[in-house]
Amino acid sequence: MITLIYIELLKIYKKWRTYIGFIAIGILIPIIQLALYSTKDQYIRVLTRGLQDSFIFIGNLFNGYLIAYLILSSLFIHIPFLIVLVGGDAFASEATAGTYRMLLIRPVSRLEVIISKYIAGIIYVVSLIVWLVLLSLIVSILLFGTGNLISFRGKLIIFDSNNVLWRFFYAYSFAILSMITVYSLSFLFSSLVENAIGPIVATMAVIIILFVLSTLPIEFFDKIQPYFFTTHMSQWDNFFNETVDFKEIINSAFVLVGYSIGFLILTSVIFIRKDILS
Amino acid sequence: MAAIISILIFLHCTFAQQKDALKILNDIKHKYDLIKDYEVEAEIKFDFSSIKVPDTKIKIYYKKPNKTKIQSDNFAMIPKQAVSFSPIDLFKGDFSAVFIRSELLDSKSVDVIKVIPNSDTTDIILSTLWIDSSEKLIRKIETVNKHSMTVRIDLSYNENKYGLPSKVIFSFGSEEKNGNQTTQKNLGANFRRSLNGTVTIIYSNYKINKGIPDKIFINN
Amino acid sequence: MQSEKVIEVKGLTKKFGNLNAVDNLDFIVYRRDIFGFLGPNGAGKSTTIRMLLSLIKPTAGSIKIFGLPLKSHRKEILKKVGAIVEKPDFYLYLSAYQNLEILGRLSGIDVTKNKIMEMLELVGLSERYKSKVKTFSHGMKQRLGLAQALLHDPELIILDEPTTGLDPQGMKEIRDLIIHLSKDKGKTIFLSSHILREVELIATRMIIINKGKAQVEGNVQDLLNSGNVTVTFEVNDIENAIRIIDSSQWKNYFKSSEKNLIYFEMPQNEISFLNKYLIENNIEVSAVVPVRSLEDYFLKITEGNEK
Repeated sequence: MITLIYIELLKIYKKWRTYIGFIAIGILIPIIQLALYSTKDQYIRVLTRGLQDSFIFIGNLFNGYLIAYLILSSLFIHIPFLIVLVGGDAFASEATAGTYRMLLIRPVSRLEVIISKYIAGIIYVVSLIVWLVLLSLIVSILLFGTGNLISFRGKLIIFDSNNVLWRFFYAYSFAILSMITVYSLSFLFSSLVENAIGPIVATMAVIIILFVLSTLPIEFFDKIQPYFFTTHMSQWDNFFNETVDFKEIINSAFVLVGYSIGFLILTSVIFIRKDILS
Repeated sequence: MAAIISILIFLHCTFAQQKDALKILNDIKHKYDLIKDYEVEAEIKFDFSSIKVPDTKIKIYYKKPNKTKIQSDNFAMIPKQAVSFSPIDLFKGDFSAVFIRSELLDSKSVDVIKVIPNSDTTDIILSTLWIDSSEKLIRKIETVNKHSMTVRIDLSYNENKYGLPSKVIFSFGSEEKNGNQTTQKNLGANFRRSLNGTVTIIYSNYKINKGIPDKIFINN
Repeated sequence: MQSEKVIEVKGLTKKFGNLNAVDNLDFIVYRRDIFGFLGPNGAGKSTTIRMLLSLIKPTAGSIKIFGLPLKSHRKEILKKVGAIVEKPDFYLYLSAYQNLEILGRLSGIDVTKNKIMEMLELVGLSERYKSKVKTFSHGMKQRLGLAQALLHDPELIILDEPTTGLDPQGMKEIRDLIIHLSKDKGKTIFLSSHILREVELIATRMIIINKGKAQVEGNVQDLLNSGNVTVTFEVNDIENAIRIIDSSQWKNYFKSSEKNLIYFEMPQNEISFLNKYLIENNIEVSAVVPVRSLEDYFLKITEGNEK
């Protein structure tokens, strides 16, 4: 199994497509950092506009934490694009390239192939998020230092600087879980077809549709929104609430894990029965 | 005749009150004039529904005539009146002061004085001061700013030589009710409206007239 | 010698919707056979091979390899099988070496650098081991395909049209390699082809399938030499020749004639005697073209399928 995972990792990381995600993040984040740096306190000023009349602000609110938070908020919705590039490729690329015929005539079971591809995918997801953390949090801290984190959500919350890192840790962990769910969906779609474009587009379409439905303030959707996995993906933000509702987060985490496992099981059932005709 | 008498009485009263108000304010001002410099530690506690800020500890340095410096290891959000805390600001520039009445505040007799800046460049359009004339201490201040936001300041003292407070409670309130719209555009306005709560500052370890080198105020 | 059954297929059937791609197919491959699996394109060869390698699940029938049912002993069996299915496809973004390393590991062997290089040497790709497969020509991929099939030293080698797209020199090299594997290494080889000639050159036994059904099965030489051969004689004096034949025992084999060609249907071993007879009777024979009935038959089904 280790060998299989190693091989699947080799396939992922030897492919140029895999690095699109890393490059995209690697280009975007410095741009965001530069843009924020050039506007510097303006963002803070906008956020605290109502308070400038009455209060004096002292200290570094424009710090690495804030930038990391802003980057995560703005990129979170786009990371799925980068995930599906690899997820949609998981099976479909082997079908397109015809390498199924080399892979599946080896003395390994299809379930082992599925699991190893899945684990390799998770490792990819984790590596992409770690890359994001490295650039957005670590580099931002190195460039802009640490400090209190200002966050606005109906009310202005300023977290003590030593009350922030754990929130990031959980938020990033939750982001990983969300992205694994996205990966799982593209993984499922990838097992159905023989061309990677289909699953990539299909997964994004599903996510975009659900995202839109998740945010529509229409009563009818309120009832079904809890059943969308996309609704639960945004729970990472909950860690930046004044009081973190762990119960709600754990509930969402279970939903995401459930969806991921569901997608994986469905993939397995379909793929094990599949006749390889490519 | 009666009308003339009442006008005379009115004029007399107005004159008397005007003089009274300035005198009371000047007594306070003279007390503050004794302060050449001070440093003090302050602990700030926020109690707002719409703002959550961790408790902060800062150090405030003041040196005559207008040098101030705030030292904080962490981020701090400080009510403007707490820094240039001294109502000295109030006595700068051109203003009109009117004695309103005497009343009891916490079973102490105080004079109520309204102060109106004569220029329209200041943010504050009206201040009301409750002044303990016997101790020459400001017990309470109420200000209304251009955004019709009211700030009430309750002051407590451990000493009365210099009139520096040991505890100040800033109560922010707004006459407008909190709107429901939370669009980005009126975020600021909404925020102002929803700014209801108190900031408590406890001052400790006053070091008054011990001399503070000017270099402390550099990079302020 | 032919006692040990390496592949035993019984009643093998695969339906795709209404189409019977493979229809109740039976055959046996014995140890050290070079088993020719012959059929025109679309006859069901590839589907059968895919079923032998568990890429496709049979609709009905059984497959036993090394005496074990494939369904229940898949892993065990596949450890000892090497194969090329249709065209050889590799991970194009990996080098030849990396591809072999991956596939060798998947086959459960200890892939040493020596082992891989030895294989690449065998198929003549050792100098390109670092090159990504996407830079390879079809012929090179075909040879790399052989390398991956042989890498784990399998007992049974299944080759699906291994010479497709190769130049004549390449074809010969592969044929020589197959014969070497069988004779010197004792491997069993299952070789599919749509070219009778190719099978005839190297196979010991064979089966011809068409439209998913077995048509003929047996020893290659027996099959090819059984039955009569259609022979065309090209002669200078057609009238004289026909007259001479008419007056002899050879007239029983005469079929027809046109221009200066005479067609006979006769046992192959008598062709030379007829030739001699004609020459002795002063008929100049400029060409003798025998077409064996199997070849003739195969040509017909191939043409039929292509139509």
